[in-house]
Amino acid sequence: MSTPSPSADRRSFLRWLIHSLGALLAVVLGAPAVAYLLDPRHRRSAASDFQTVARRSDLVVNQPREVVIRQNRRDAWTVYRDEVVGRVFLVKQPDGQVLAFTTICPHLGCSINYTGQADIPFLCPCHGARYRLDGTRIDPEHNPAPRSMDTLEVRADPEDPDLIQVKYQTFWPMRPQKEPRS
Amino acid sequence: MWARLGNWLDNRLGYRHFLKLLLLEEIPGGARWRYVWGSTLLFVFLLQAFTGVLLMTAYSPGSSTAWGSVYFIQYEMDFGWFIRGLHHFGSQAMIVLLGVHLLQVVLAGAQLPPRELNWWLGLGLLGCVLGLGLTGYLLPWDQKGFWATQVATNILGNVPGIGPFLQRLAVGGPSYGHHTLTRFFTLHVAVLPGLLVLLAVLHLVVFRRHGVTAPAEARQQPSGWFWPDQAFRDLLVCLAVFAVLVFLVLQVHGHPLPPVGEAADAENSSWYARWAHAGREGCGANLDAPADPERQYPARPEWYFLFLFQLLKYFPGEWEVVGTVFLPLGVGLLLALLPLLGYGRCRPVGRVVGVLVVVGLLAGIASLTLLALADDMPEASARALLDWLAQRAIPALTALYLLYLAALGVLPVGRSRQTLFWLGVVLGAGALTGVGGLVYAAQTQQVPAVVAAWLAERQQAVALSPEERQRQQERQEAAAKFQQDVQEAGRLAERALALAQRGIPPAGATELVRRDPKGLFLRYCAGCHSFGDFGPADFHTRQEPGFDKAQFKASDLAGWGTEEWLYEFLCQPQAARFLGRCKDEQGEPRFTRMADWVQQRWRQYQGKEAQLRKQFRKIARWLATSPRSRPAPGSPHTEAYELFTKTFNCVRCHAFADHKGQKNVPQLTGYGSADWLQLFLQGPGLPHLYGENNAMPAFRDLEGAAGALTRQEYAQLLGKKVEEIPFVSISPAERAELVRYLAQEQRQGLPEAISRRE
Repeated sequence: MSTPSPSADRRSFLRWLIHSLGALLAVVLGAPAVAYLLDPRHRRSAASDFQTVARRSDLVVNQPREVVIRQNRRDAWTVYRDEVVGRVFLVKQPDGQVLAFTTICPHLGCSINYTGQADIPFLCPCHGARYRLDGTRIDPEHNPAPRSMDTLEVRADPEDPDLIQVKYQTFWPMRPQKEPRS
Repeated sequence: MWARLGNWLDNRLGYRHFLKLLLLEEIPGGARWRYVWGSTLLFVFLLQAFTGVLLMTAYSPGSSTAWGSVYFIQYEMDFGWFIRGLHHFGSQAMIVLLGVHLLQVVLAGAQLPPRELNWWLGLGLLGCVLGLGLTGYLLPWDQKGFWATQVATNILGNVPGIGPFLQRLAVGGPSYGHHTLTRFFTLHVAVLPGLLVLLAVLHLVVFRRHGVTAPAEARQQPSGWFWPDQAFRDLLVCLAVFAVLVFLVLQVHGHPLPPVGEAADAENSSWYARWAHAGREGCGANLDAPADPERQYPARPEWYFLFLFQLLKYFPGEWEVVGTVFLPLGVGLLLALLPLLGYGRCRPVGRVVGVLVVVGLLAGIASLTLLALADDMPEASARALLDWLAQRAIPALTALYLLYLAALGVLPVGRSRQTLFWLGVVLGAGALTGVGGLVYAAQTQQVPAVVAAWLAERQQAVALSPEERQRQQERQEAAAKFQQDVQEAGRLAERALALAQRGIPPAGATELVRRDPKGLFLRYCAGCHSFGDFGPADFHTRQEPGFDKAQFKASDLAGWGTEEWLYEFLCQPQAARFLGRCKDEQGEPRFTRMADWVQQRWRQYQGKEAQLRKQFRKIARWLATSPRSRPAPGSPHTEAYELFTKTFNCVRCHAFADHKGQKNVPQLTGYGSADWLQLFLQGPGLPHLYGENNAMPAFRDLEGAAGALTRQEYAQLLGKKVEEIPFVSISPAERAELVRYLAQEQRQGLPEAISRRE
């Protein structure tokens, strides 16, 4: 083969220039586009504080009471005021202590029901996870749930000790330990 | 490695053959800059498709969500302003490039046989692009798009015969609503782009069948190839178009929105955050206040439809339909007929007619657009300049251009023709730049002094008839009114954006503005009450007549019910911001008992003022929790309660829980709570509130709402006739919003809606 003619040189230079300029365009347009698509990483669920849910004196030992958690919820641009964001089972233990469980099943996030029956008080309708009144799994070997029901922090109202306050949180399902979702 | 992968793929797909078909186009006479315009249109369309799909990931077509989602894209999402800005200006670039492409085609005579089918396809594409611009304008559901589209659909509704039916189809019902948006959205993202792609593919196929229409001089030159010679020119111009778009997006077109709170900290923290949210500095496209059918707006279409808007002015009354329907349709038909003039011996005539029609059309559009701008220009010299450009400069330049084209057509191919051609290109570019610069100067009201003086001289030379003088005067006033309306609309938009920053209610952004506590406070409370250093002059969207802060007749409500407010009140209730401004008809202070009682305490605690302050502080802290009963055992407020009931014996006059108190003294059970305020607003003269001392009207809806006192019952309780009692009509929803703000939001120290001065 002979050496490339000047015209062939010019053509390959043009080709190179076209590809480079195309790449420049792709970056100027592509980088903001990628950042824009990754925007949801900035959205956080609202941090929760202790909120009053019930009176201790209204609760009966070993009779779970389901209470709702209300919060201002922000969905992108919309603010929902005082919306129900979750439900909590309150169970007064024989020693007077009150336990709070989220109704979210740690297996795959379905909603746990209180059955009212002594043998299986808490039952998840999706895959049959079963829990005792203290939230522990019944028959862990054959229970689909990876851990006990998720407990929430409970305290008495500093100004009125009869009022029970709960700090609502949700946790990752499917994991052996409870880990809070942010 | 790449070569082997390429071979493997080509073996299966045959893509190289396809690429060859696409790129190895022979161009008679070689590559030329004048062939680039079709490619730039394709490029901008692809850009629109790309940014459009990105916008679709965040846009929500619904009358209660559309504005909010666009607000979120523009002001909250990373680089949302950039994507939206490119899409916004890209649409305008397409219109401009379409004009250039159209001109280029008729200059080359490329509409003539055998390419007439491609000309018609091109006209279809033109329709698609205009349709995309029209439908896209509505999608943000802001005032601008809403009112402009109202006009457009009403024009559609006045088409003789089928108009009302067509309008109903377009709007999706008898009036604007959910289906207006969903239908426009579908047209904008599916129907019109789909049609456009189909037509564009056919356009390209037909184009490739006949090839470029080479100019006369090209016939002597060797032919070249699309790849890479023409492709390089196309790409370079596409990049230039893109650079212009990026430049436009980086300019300030929107309302700046300074971030508040945590967002402000994040904003200042990094260069990334500053760029990602440059929309907050006003970069990118504009977003107006949310659409509100109840709020008037100085509606104008997007600039590329302004000529149609101007055209309407010449067809008043029943002739309007000529300007809205018949004339545009006639022009469309004329364009469609152009290729038919190219058969047989007609061909040279057809070519000339084509140029005359399109050049005349573009010049007419330019003139009408400038006249429309002139009519809205309050500044005299800027208006005169635009008028002159529209009526003198553009016709003159058009005539010169046609002469130039004629000369090019007559001269034989050769050196002198070449020189004339380039001379024309340079002069033409200069003229376009000059006109553009002058229009920019007029729009920004920076007309050079020389030009202004020359225009004034010209005007003085012409003797105006009284009617003409009168007409000019009216035009001036209309333009001034228009600018005033535009400014007011801008302030409303800024207010709406500042409110949106705190979150938009589920009912939508229109409600956000309608229920703005600042607006409600102004309408209902600010006649008597102040709010911090805030007065109606700060509230831009309602013009209050002759408002004077000295005329405040009642307490300042900033911080009402908070610990600080209550504490200050206890220390000096006679201060102007509390009871000091409340006077009776004789100008005597209305509430003296509380002031006297506090005076006595200060005397009693002489030398021990610190102790009194401490005790007042305790009471204020407790009352700020809006208590309804005695504190529970062990509560930190037990001591405050002791002070309240025993030491100071407040309950001798004020009712609280079981303590009865006295008539005409406000009860303090739940003081500062939403319930207390709701009751108070509906019946401030009730015996257990301010009773006979009350001077405030009752804020109620016309009919008593269920569960509340009727007007008659209220009058009975006060021992008066209904007509003797001042009532102010307020809807329960508005009252609830005021209560929510005064009793809850401002007390929780949430971002101030009222006192924040933008």
